[in-house]
Amino acid sequence: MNTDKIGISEAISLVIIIMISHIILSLPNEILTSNLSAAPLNVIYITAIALVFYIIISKLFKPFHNQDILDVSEYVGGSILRKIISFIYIVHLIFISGILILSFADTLKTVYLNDMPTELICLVFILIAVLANQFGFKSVSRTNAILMPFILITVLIIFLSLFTDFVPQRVFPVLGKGINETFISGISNIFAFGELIILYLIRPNLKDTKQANKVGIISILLSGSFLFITVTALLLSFPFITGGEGVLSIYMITRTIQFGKFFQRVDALFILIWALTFFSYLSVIMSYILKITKKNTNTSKSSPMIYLVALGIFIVTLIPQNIAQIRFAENVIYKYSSLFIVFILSFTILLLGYLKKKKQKGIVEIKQEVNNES
Amino acid sequence: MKARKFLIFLIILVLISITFLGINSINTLDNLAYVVSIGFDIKDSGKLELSFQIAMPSGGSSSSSSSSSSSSSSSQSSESIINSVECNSLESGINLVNSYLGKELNLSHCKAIVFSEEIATKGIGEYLYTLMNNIEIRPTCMVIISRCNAKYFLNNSKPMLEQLSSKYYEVSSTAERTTGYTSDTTLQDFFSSLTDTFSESYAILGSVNDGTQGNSNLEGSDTASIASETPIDTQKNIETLGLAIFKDDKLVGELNGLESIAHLTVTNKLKNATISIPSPFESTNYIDLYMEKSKTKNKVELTNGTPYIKSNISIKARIISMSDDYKYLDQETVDIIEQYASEYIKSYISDYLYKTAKEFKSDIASFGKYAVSKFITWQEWEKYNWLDNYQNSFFDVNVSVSVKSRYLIIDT
Repeated sequence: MNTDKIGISEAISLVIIIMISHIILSLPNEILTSNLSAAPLNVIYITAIALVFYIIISKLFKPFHNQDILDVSEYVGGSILRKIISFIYIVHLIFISGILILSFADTLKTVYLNDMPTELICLVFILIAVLANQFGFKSVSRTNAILMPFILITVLIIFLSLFTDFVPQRVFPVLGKGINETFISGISNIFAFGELIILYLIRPNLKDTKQANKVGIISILLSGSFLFITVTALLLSFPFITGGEGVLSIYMITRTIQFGKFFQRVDALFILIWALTFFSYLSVIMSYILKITKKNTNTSKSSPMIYLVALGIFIVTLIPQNIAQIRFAENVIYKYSSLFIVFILSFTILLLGYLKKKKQKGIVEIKQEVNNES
Repeated sequence: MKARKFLIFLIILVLISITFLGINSINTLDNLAYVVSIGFDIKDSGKLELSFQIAMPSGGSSSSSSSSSSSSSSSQSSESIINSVECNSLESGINLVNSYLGKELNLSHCKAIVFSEEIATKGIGEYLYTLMNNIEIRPTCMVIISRCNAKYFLNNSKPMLEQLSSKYYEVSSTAERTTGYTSDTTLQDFFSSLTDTFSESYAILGSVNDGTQGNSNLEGSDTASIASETPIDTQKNIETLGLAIFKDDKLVGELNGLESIAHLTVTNKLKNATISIPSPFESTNYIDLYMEKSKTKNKVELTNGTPYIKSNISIKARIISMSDDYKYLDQETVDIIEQYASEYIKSYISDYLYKTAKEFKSDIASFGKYAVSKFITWQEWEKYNWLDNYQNSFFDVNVSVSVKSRYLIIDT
């Protein structure tokens, strides 16, 4: 019996955790600075495109029952292609998780842990993810699913707490930098849905593969909604963020939250929830890296690999020298690598696999017809 | 297997505890000095002078004043001490005071940031960016522009009815709800307006009132006074009354109490206010109106590129002054008062609007947010440059006062 099988809520949580982690850091800033007042419109637009894209993906996945993108790549180009794709996925996941953890560690250092080296904070996150993975994929995904409602509630609280300070007219000029920037070059903001990478890998882990469509659609809609909420809250409350002047924008909101005169300074509570979010995020990413390596090395135990993966992530956290480099890695490298891997490379392989399957099916049908005739 | 899981759990717990519970931190209450307010002045040499009002944790066991650059012997509030330092920047000033005090200044309980008029006229943008970037300072602390020296302002901050200076600042900011004589402006509000493309900033106007500077030119109205000029006979203390108006990050003018009420009315922020209007029945008398609800609908039209701003204001008020001659329960009397009050309020709101547009050239009422919807793209909006075009605005103000006289306890 495969102990790695998960239900719908766990699967949705696995996908959303990636988007939420990016939302807590700089994703809303990136979308706001590139689209200004049209940012909410752009989020609706890219969510719709991501949804259509996923529906296409799920159609292409139909012939590959219970298989992930690595199986499809093996089907298309043999074990060599599978190894290449696995390598690209592993490098991407290690790099992005390393940068994201470094970014959050840097935030923690700025806000609370001024005396602690950033490297040490990163190391704690990585070690905890290593330990969490000792319990296995199912434990990681269950913990993540338990944590998810709390994380989403914090985002909702942020939105509601700012509601009275909203200036609705800040959505004008409605087209922001123009039609081109909002709808044509603005399509590149679909990188925000880099979480789709998990949807390429999650199918074999689902208890019921038929539910994959549901998982994908719900997680895209939820992620899109929460991205919309944060982008709108920031746009309507802080005009200076559109000028690129809010580095820790979501944290900045939490500093303004107070419930009457008694409950002030609740930001520490948000930081606690977000720290747990990043523990969970890193554990999830590490689980998937291990799954990919397991598939390629044909090993039953993944324990020794955990330390190598952890080392890889830790090395990545040591690369950027300053906040500018972190932002560059987070917003530029992540943007283009996500666009390439999720929306071009994986899609192309899936399309080729689908066409090959169709062609084979055609040949089989022809052969059957010939056999029947003979 | 269970023992292994327990061990892993224990390791996770220890790691989190060591890292995040601050047990490695050396910052305790004994090492920190909590700043209640910060004052920004500029010296004749062009150097910045920072003043820190620091809370006394022992609750007023001593009072003293000192200055790293020059000694001062002015009187202090019983619950705080003032330290001032001449420096190049906020951070270097904090470091100098830290070395002098032997403690670390902590700004997380700072309630007010006071700029002197002199420094505000030269521009406070760089200080605001630094303050917004400081993780300890809350965006909810007040911004006050002092008509006098900021250090003098802090030195005279002596709460009469409060035990704690921090509480005093917190409570005084809520006074706008009952008087309307100023508008509670936080650091975040100020910074947002500063960086916004459709509004300009304003701040609370403050000063020291020594009880001897009562303004004799109040044109008959008690509300037309400004900080330090209210005719109050009291001991020397700070007061906040009126608004300081900015164009970009530079102070360009002041509004008095009545104009502040006008500002709050136009921006839909007025909670309650009492105004005295000359009596329509007897020229030497005044009628006090308690404005309790006001609703303003603003509309901006661009005619040949010139802003034409319409403000329709409806106010619910009640008469709180009495006279033995007037029948306030008589419909005809009420109609006359309503009409007179509407004209009076319309007149001072129009004066306020033209003052902001023609004299200060500063859209503190954020009319730009009504104009921005006329533009499709950001480029068009920036090209139009609302903040510069605001000075060409024309206003059409309509005021409708609805007087409720039924609150009277006795008829006259």
